[in-house]
Amino acid sequence: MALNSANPVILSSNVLITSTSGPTAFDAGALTNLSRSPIEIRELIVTAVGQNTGAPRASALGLVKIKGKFNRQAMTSGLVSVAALGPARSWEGENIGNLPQMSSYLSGRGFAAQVRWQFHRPIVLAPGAGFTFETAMDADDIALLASAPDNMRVTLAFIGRDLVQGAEVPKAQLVPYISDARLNVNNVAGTGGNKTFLSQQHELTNPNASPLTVRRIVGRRFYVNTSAPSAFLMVNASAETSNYASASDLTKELFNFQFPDRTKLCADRTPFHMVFGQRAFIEGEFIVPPTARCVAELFSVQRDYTGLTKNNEVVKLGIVGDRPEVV
Amino acid sequence: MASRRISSTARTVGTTATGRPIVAASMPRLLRDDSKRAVRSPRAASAISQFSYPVHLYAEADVPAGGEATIRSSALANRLGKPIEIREIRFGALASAAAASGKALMDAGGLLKLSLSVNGKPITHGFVPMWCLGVTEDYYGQVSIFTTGTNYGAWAQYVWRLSRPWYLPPGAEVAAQFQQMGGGRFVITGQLGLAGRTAPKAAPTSCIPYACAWMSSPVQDSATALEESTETDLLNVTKRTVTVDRLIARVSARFTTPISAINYLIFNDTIAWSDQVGGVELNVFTSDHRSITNGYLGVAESFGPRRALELVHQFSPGDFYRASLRKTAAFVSSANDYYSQAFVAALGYREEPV
Repeated sequence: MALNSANPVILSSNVLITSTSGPTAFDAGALTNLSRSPIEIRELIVTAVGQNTGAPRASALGLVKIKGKFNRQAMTSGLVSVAALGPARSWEGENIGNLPQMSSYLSGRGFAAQVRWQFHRPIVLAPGAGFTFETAMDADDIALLASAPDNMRVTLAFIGRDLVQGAEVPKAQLVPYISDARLNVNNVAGTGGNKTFLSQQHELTNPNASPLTVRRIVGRRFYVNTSAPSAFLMVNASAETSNYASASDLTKELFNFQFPDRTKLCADRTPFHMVFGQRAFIEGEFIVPPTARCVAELFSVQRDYTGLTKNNEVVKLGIVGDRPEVV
Repeated sequence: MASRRISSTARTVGTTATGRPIVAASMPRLLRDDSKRAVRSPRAASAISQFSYPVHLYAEADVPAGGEATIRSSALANRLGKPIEIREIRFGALASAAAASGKALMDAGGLLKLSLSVNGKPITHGFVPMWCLGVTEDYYGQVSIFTTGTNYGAWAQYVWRLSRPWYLPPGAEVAAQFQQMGGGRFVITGQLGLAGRTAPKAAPTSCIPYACAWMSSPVQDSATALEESTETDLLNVTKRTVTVDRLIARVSARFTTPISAINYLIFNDTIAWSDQVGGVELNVFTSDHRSITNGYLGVAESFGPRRALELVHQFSPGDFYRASLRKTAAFVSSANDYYSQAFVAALGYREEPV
């Protein structure tokens, strides 16, 4: 069927994963341009739904990772956290409810999250070109939970539009790219307190041959309770206060970020939630040359409370941008 | 493999620190600007000034009940040696759990006011309530709980997303002062963040944000009221025309006697608590007596409890808005004693020479 130039296009695929299934591929055919005309893709929407049978109370956003390529060009630095991709489509979508509602998640309800990765420039797919992606639960985070979700369904939706048949497909394009980092403060009220945590050598880096232009730094923060009833709570944008996320925590997670030229985002360490705000990102534009890296720095002030059940804090970060490549 | 594919269609323009070639791919017109800038930056320090680094300036202060606190202005100074553009002003209010007594249900943003200026030029006309300075996407944060024995504290965050970037030249300094409204019983930490990026070049003018506000008197639940702001409340005190692009109105309900063991409450969640704050209506007039709202409108229904009413209005120097509050008796009779209070603010910007 002939398509006119304004037709919207969605390339979508979903898979069901478990905590032990490992990386699972999406249907590459479903993520391929099967039409006779080129298409351009402007954003990727990732939806994660937990099919929960009782525990844990969890953030779907924090537990899922993806890895993928456009043609043969990597779009991710290995398996990266969905939480580091971009803003959520709705605030409620990435947070479980406040204290009164929280208990309902113990009774077997599902949980869901949706984030969008908006590309700075559209990717143009020639007929037959496509994406190859896979997904898995985050093994490091699953290891922290007292019990893992039984399974989760992860859906990718590449959103764009159809171009006229015969439209030129650029050989060189800006390929979206993300490199992420994970900082884990274990035992925030004890031995994890009053320490500085840094991203690692292989994180927040550009392993490609072409320079990476970063457009956003994305940051989210999760509280993890390692004992039952286990919880993996996304609270970065949250003001909700509970035994999992007391207000005093918000002044005790201090953040800074070092660019490749060693200048810093903040003049001094700054509360994490103020840097990333309610949409979980801060925008700008800077280059990460090949092999160069950024460094994230989190200082966790030892908590002065006792009796709360939260004992881990996981921060997920992403440098999200693009790089020029021949595709 | 990647570099071989590129080299067939590209030229080398430099080398990385490890000697790896940086190539300029043959780019279509659409991408040329970005790719040129990218490939011209083989080493970060040499050419990165063409780009706009993210920047975040931050300061905080503990505000005692009924008192004021001034933040360290050097923390909100542009000391980067290059101009920056602020895109968002972020506000936080945090009531310490340790300071709480009894059980409270509150939006801490409803208890703080701010006064802001840049290099002596006003950003706010006097003190403006924090929850009138922006929107929040955090529904549950509007109502935070802490109780005796398990005090978790209370927290609120509001964001003023500027419709025009606010240019801060090198050396510019933002001064801020917090004030806690009457009736508070807690120390509240006021937080202020300026999120933006380095500007590519110096600009001759800056779009400086501007906000002015009015607070009604607290009105008891069973009482009716009719009250108007004065000519000096919602006033343009600058010498420039302000483009007002947002009107924000909030309503609080503050209990003076316990309700469900909650003995202190201030909130803005008018959907869930409509019986308490229902009946508070606003009419907003311009200086020349034209009604913007075309009559009295329910605050919650028309302005939204978390959002801003977006509009564009030219607000000349000396112009003012007159807000008129009309309160009927509560829809639902309540055994609890509470007071309603309306907050109205106009937000915008004016362009001034740097």
